Order: sequence, then C-alpha cells, then structure tokens
Amino acid sequence: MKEYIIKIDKVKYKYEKNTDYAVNGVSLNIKEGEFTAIIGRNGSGKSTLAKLINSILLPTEGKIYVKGMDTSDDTKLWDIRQTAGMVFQNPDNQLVATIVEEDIAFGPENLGVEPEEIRRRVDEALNTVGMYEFRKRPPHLLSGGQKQRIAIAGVLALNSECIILDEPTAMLDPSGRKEVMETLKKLNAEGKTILLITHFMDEAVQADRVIVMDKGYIKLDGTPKEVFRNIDEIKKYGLDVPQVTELTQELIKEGLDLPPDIIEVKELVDLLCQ
Amino acid sequence: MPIRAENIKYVYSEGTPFRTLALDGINVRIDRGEFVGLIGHTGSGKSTLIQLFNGLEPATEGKVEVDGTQVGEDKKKLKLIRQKVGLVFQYPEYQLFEETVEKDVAFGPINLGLTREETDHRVKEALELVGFNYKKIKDASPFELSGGQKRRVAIAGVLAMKPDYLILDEPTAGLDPAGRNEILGQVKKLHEVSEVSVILVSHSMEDIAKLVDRVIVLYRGKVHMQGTPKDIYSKADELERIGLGIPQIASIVRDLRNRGFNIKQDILTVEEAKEEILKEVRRRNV
Amino acid sequence: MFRNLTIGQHYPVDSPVHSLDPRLKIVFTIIFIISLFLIESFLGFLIVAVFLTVVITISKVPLKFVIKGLRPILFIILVTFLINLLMTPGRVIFTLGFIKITEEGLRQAGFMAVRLTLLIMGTSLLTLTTSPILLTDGIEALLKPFSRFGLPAHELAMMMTIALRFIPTLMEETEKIMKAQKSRGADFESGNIVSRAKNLVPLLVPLFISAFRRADELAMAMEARCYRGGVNRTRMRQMKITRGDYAAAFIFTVYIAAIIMFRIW
Repeated sequence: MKEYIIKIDKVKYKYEKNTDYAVNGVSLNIKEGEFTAIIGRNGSGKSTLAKLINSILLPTEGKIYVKGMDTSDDTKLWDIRQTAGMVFQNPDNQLVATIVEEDIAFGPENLGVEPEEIRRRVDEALNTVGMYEFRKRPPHLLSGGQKQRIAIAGVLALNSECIILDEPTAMLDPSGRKEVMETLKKLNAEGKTILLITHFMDEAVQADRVIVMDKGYIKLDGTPKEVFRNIDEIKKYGLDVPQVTELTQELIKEGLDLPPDIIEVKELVDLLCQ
Repeated sequence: MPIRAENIKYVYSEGTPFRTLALDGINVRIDRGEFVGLIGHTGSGKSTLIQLFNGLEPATEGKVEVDGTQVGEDKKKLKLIRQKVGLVFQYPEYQLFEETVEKDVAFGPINLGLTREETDHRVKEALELVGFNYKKIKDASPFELSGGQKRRVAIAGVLAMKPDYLILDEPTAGLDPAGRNEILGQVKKLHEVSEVSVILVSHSMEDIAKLVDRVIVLYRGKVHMQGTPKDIYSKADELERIGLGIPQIASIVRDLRNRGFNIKQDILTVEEAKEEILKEVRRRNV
Repeated sequence: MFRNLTIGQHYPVDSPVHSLDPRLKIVFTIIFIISLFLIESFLGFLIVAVFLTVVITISKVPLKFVIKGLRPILFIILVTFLINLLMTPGRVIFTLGFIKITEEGLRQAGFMAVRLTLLIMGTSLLTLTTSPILLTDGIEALLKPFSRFGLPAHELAMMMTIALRFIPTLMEETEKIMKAQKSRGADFESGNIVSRAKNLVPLLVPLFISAFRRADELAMAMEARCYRGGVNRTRMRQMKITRGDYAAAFIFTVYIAAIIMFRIW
C-alpha cells in the first residue's frame, strides 16, 4: 500500500478582497507516484489549491499535509517546497538566470547544496528533460516548450518527489504541449508524483486520476474513464470531453453496443472494427 | 476588393549570423466577406505575414495590396490601411492602458480623428458585439476584469475601428473551454452580421475547422496547402507531420478508414461522424 | 530585431584573457584606471598603449571591435579636450581673438584625450571578455567583504542577474505593444516633443503593468524554488584561482611596477 504524499483535509481558502471562498471545503488525498490531473474552468479554485499545497498560500480553514508536514508550520516551509516543487504557467516569468544550467542550479543553490552535488543534479535534470545540449543557451532564445522543460528540470534539481504544475501548457503550441506531456509521463514512470492542472482534456485523459473542480468544490474524482463518461455534467462545469467519448455515447444512443466510458481513439476504433 | 500578397519574401536580421528567411514566396488573396483560417506552427511565418497585411512590417520582396492600395508605398496611407485591416494580437489584453473600458475602446476611433458622437456610437456598438452590456461595463477599469473579459475589451478596441478585414492571432490562447467557445462564437456571429472578412490565426485545426470557409496552411515560410476545411482535414497525416494539431475526430476517421471502414474522409463534426459510422455499421450487419 | 541584441557587448571566444578569473579582471581594470591617472608623460602613455594592445591581441577580440566601443563617447572626449585646451592657464603659444591656447593647455588636453581613450578601451575589454553572468559573480564576490557593513552584495548581484535575464523579454514586449497600438492608429513617430511624450502613454502603461506582473510572478516562482536571500546559499560555479591567473597577476604587477618606476623617475 502506497503512502499518501499529499493530504488535504477540509480546506477552505478565501482571498482577502473576495466574499466567496476560492476553495470551499476540499478534502483530497494524493498517493505517492500517482499522476493526477485537475480540471475546471477559470476561477474554479484549481490554481489556488496548487498554491495552498506549495505553501504559497495558507488555508483559511482546514489543514494540508505534504509528506506528513503541515503547510502552516513555518519551520517546515522549505522542506515542503522542496518536496512538492512547482511549475507555473508563464515560462518567461519563472526562469531566473541568463543561462539555462544556471537557472536549474538556482533551487539547489538556495538550499545550500555542495557545488559538486549541484553540478551532478543539474546534469542529471538536463538529461532527464532532454535539454542537455542547450545547457549554455540563454533562456529567451528557447521555444515555449523548451522553457517549460527547463522549469521542470529546475524542480527536479530540488529532488522534489512531487511536481505540481499550474497550467504549464496554456501558453504553448501543440508541439510544445506534446513535449511537456511526454516529459511528465516519463517522470511519472520514474516514480515522481505529478499533479497537473490543465484546461486541455486530451492531457487529463493521459492521467491516472482526474479531478473536476467547480466553484471551489470537487465535483468529480476518479479515473479518466469514470470521469469523462459524465458528458452532460462536465459540460455544465464549462469543460469539454474528448470527442471520442462524445461520439461513442451518440452511437450508444443509436443502439450500438459500446461501453460508455471510451476515452481513447484506439479503443473505439478497435471495438468498431471487431 | 481583396487583400492580395504577391511573391512575398521576408528576411529577419539581414546581414547578421541570425539571418532568417521567414516568408519565402507567398502568394495569397483574401476576399471581402471571406472567413479564412491561417494555420501553422510557431515559426511558420504566420505572425509575420499578418503584420505585412497592415503595414507593421515591410516585405523584403514582393508586394501587399489592400483594396488596390499598395501597403507601405505611401506612408501617409498607413493609417488608412491599419483602419481597413484590424489586427488583434495574441494576448491582446496586455495592450489595455486606459482608466475605463470606454476610453480604451475609444482609443482607435479617436486616433482616426472621428467625431465625439461617432466615437461614442462605435464604442457602444463594439462592446455590444463582444457580448457586453455597454452601460454596465463602460466605466469599469479594464484592469479589474477577468482574463476573458479583458480580452473581449481588447477585441472591441479593434472592432471600434470598423475594419473591413479583421485578423485575430490565436484569440483563444490560454482560455478555458468555455472562454474559447465564447470568443469563437462571437467572432462567428460578427462575421454573419457584418460584411467583415475574418482571418483567424491558429496552430491547430481544432478551433477553426467548424468556422472558416477556407484554410491556408503555412509551413517554413511557404503556403503548404490551401483549401476548404474538409480538403485540409482529409490530410490529417500531413498536418501532423508538419507539427500541427488535428482534432480527435479527424484521427478517428483516419484510423477507421485505415482499418477498412468505408466512410467519408472529410468529416468535421461528431454529428457527421456518427451518421457515417452508423451507415457503415448497418451496412456491415446486413 | 531586439532579440539579437547583445547586452554588455560580450565577445564570446576562447582566449587566455576570457578564462581569467572575473574577480581578478575587475581588480586589474580598476588598478589600470588608476594607473592612467598616475602618468604624466607621453612615453608613459606609450607603454600603456603597447601593453593594452598586447592584451587585446591575446584576447582574440578584433581591435576594431574595441575601437568601435569608443564611438558613443567620442563627443565627450572632444569636449574634454576642448575644455582642457582652452581653460588651462600657462605660457600662451597661440591667440585668436579672445581664444588663448597655452602650452600647458595643449599638453593637458592631449593627455586627457589619450587617458580617456585608453580608459574606455581598457574597461570595454573587461565586458568584451567576461560574460555578464561571470561579471555579476565577480562583483558579488568582491563586494562580499563589505556586506558586514550593511552593503547588500548578494541582493545587488541578484538584481543585476534578473535585469540581464529580463532585458530581452521586455524589449520584445515593448516591440509587441508598440505594434498593437500602431494597429489601433497610434503614432509614435511624428509630432513635437510634448505630443510625442503624450503618445507614449499607451506604450508605457501596459509595459509597466506587465513588468509588475512579471516581477510578481517571478518572486513567487523564486520562493517556490526555496529562495530566501543570500544567507547559506551556495553556488554551482566556484571561482578558483588557476595557474593562468597567477601568471596574469605576475605580468600585471610588472606592468604596474614599470608605471610607478617611470613616475618616480
């Protein structure tokens, strides 16, 4: 039985100037090594939740534990941020240094890691995200997808066990999005816990678990198959479902004998061609 | 009268080691009232091309004509050309600067030297076109709106100039599905109710397939393909090869056909796919 | 295009001068500047010029590249020359109306012009052979001893790094906003100074807002990566004094000794 790396217990959060809760009583446990996608329209509270886990924000009510550490415990702040590293939406606004490898070194430098160890971690992280040959480049000459891979490498160099990504692909083109998703799947296969916040359903489909948020609440939680079969409900929350799921359910209505929870093209094609 | 681009070449950073040929012999024509999709991945030259259309960048070779006027030939006519060819950049919300929504949208019309009355009229019309209640929104600060609302205000700022050609560069970038549908729906409506030509720039077929009459695919600075969405759709493999996203429906149709399913190639919507698949399944079961 | 703009005019090649420790290079440059003010004779300047030419040759930076750096300050050199020429009292050797040129003035003006030229060439050699990031590291290391007296050495260096990182981004952004406003009929090119300044508002407001937004997001990203100031921070790249540095220090000492000897003599 795997341990829970993130435990969220009846958390509420309200921004100062607002009257509504951005996160309104969320309880959620994330297992080690799990790949979870959180989807929800703008203002559904999903980004706030990510910032709460990383202790950038503190819950108004309730508790969050990252690997057993309470995020409201000041003395654990840096351990929490190291354990659950964070990647943000705008690739330009999270790279600090003028050279790629210097940027990746930024995290471990802050932790006071020995220089040789930093070098080792930076090289390893560069290789993991496939950017080793770009290590001497200035970040502003890289593509969006490459910049996000550098940001991911920056988190890897912190030796984070869990990576939280807040809409990392929102500003990327299709090939950049693909690069990032492939990197995340690879990291997950190597044992990293991934928490991906996204607007793109085709990305959520690739996760182990999908959580749908709306107005600060968790509305749906399950495997992609369990979640996306609820087409009407998902559309009600301002989201889309994969076209293949929609098509399958239309075909079922017309009397074809198909399972209602098809989420991948290959599944449908295989079944139809039997 | 159309926008016509003939034998366009565009070179960046001439005379340096960074020299790049961004556009290489482009010939395109956009007619009045058309709804055109311009797709290509980052670096395909699409952003450069649209900047040539309204004279923000000069072509290195070749010429661009807007309704018979050659762009860049006479500097004094640039303002007229920029009025005719309205350009909404990517993330246009970052160009808002006025204290109120009304003033910001009025920026274009005032620059055109319109009267106070005409300006007010246009501001109201433009804000309503992008789905706002004019009275409610006009005195709000643009910086207090949500991301999607800011973007609509910015689009209204260009609409208020009453362009004959409206170019939108990735208008849905960074929005959630509801926001995407809202903006695209408004663009569609705008095209239906007015005579404006719309050029929608995107990296992917997904958004634009259902809207446009014609698709122009740019690849490495050249026009790689051109045709109706159906024509282009049926070349899903080719689109993927040049790094463009294709809608899931296109890949379902392609894979089914590859496995011997006898269905049409040029399917755009879930509805069409359903009909075609049902026909084929019933034929097989008989 | 803005994106190809090189900041600090770094000339990236491999040379013994490039690989010198940045701290050493900064110290050398400062001493070099001081040495220029010790010299009071043309022969002295000749020694400096020869020395500088040799260093430039070793650095593999084309001489014309170094000289090109003089262009922006040519005017300042000229003005300094004229002021010294006309304002120094002494034995008059030439008069034209109220203009009197003295022997001392001529000497003084000549020295000043040569001094400034050498000074600019020497300091630009520092930026040409040292990447901005190494320069920042060097400055930080040299200022560190002063942090005991409240000088924020690490913070200054961090600010420099972030500035260098964001200059290209903000340049690109400026260009983009400018184009967007031009598309709405804005005019940045014509009109008198007042109207031109007023016309900049639609450019500057969005630019500031975006800079603040970026700063805010960057601060959050830095904190998420455990940044908490310079205390207990380590660096991946360690500056180590190598044999080349010792050799350079030796040569430089000989140079300074020669200058001082010359001066005392």
